[in-house]
Amino acid sequence: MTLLAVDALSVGFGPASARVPVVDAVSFSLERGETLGLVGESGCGKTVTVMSAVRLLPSPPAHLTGGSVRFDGIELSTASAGQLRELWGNRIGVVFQNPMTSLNPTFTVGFQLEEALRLHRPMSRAQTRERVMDMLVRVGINAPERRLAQYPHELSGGLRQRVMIAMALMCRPELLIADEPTTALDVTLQAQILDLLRSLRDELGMGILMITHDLGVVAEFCDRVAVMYAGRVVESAPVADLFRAPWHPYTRGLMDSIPRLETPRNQPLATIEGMVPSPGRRPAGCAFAERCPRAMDRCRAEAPALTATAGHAVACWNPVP
Amino acid sequence: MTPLLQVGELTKAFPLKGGGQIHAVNGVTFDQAPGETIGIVGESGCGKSTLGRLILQLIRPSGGSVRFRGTELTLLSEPAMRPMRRHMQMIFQDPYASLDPRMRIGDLIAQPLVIHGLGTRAERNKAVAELLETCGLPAEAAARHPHEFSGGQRQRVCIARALALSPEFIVADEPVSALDVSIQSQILNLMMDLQRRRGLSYLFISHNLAVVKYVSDRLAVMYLGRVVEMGPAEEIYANARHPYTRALIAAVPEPDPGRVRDHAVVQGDLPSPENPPSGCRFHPRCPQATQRCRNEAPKPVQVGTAGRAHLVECHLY
Repeated sequence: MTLLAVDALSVGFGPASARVPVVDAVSFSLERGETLGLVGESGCGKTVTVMSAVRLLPSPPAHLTGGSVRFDGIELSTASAGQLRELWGNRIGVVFQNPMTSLNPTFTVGFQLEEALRLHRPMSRAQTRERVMDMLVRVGINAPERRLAQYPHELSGGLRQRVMIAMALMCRPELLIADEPTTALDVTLQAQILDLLRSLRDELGMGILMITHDLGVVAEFCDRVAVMYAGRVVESAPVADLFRAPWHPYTRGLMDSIPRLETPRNQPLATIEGMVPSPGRRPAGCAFAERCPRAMDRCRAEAPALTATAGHAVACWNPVP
Repeated sequence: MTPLLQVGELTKAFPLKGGGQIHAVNGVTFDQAPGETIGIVGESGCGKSTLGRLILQLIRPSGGSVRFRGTELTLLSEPAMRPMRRHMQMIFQDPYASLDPRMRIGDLIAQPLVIHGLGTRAERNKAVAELLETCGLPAEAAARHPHEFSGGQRQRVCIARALALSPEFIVADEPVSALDVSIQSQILNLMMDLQRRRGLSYLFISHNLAVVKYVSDRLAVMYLGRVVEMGPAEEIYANARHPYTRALIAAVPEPDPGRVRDHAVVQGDLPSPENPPSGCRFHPRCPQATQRCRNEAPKPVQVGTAGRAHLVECHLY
């Protein structure tokens, strides 16, 4: 059974009388052992999509306004608080973007690591401690005994992110959600953390849903990718296909605008003029039309649907050939 | 050509609570020519931002010299430094935090002119209008406030403000790191274009190696307060010598799924600068470290060809 199937998920913010649509009929699926990257610029709705899919966004202000989310066959959009508590930190683990604000500064690292086990896997204290130490070693933390007694502020950024990852993995989740897990880190640490996640994925057979704005990270780490723009998925494909031949003009524009190590100096970078329309001010047709070099009259009138050809899907009336 | 900027053995030690000190910048030396861009790259805590601020005398160094057009800045008092600041300006990382939210864009851009007592009000207004146009902003922007603009537009305002005094030298500290990629390329293009039109020199500080390499003529790689490798940007990329530089290049995730890393990922965290390792500061993380690296700090070695200086601090050379 598909591990996570998101179907036409829509999310709006605010009261029913003045609801702002933020996520608009987003669909994707994730299998066990697979890594799906969700990419897009700030405000495109990638975090809202994922966090509302697993019901981690408080409602109000966020409201699921349509669609379904099935985790291993369980419908999450209508799941009870009790059902969700059974899943969170147990079968679904989350690594948040900023380890400094996601770890509780008033508890020791050890206490916070043990919490998920105390809740979901009751066992003796000695056994709990042993499981925690084992996980810390696995995420590459030396001298775990010493770390357990420390508070988050006593750890470096790299160590904190490793602790976050260990915490998310304590109950060996089937689904790991990683929201920009390396964005706050230096490149050498980023490479270490991505290597670690990859080996843990292979070992535990978990599916990883990775939210990122970095196409480099997607290319190195993901199997498939979904590109989001203004609350919609505009293109999705296996990573190799997407990078070889992006079809959506937005994806193409993003790829061309990143300076690469081999980009010669004095060669102007491609740009995407204008900026992302804010939620509530999205135009009627394709949301990218006003910035798009390939836009036609139809694009401004009618929003294109996501249509797939052999696993590569695009929502565009005039895709890049 | 006479260098615009000569930095010699520049050092900054910050005192620590309870005694001791941190050498944030430790003996940095380089020259910069007019119209040249030097990129400073390194991980957080390597001292790259401190270096930029030391050069502008926003922080006073504890040792070494900074000569700008032959004038020794470290000896100047604050009042004597002020006229020099007309020639050297700064662009900061966070365009949200570096614009006063209560001021209008026009007043923000005109402020350097007011401080230096330049022009009449009408002349300043005219200058603001020209600067807005130069930086790709509409003239109406002058009457509006920072919160009405996006991150990329605010960074354009910051650039316009830095250009108000027609400086020759600009320190840009992570100027595009807070921006989305599609906006980042707009700002980088603007900065490169301004450089061509005005003959600006940039000291471009960033942790993003691909960005730094793209904008720079020469690159300096910093590690724990020292420049461990410096040379022409193309040369550093194609022919990096220091194991740290190689590790840094290898760690950059490139948007190319077929790419295979040609160097191992460096392990461990940056050591605390409070208590730096003995000998070569990189030795605990270096795959090629020997006994000598643990005991003896390497001196800069010239590995480039004549006229294309390429310096590296490593016992391998």
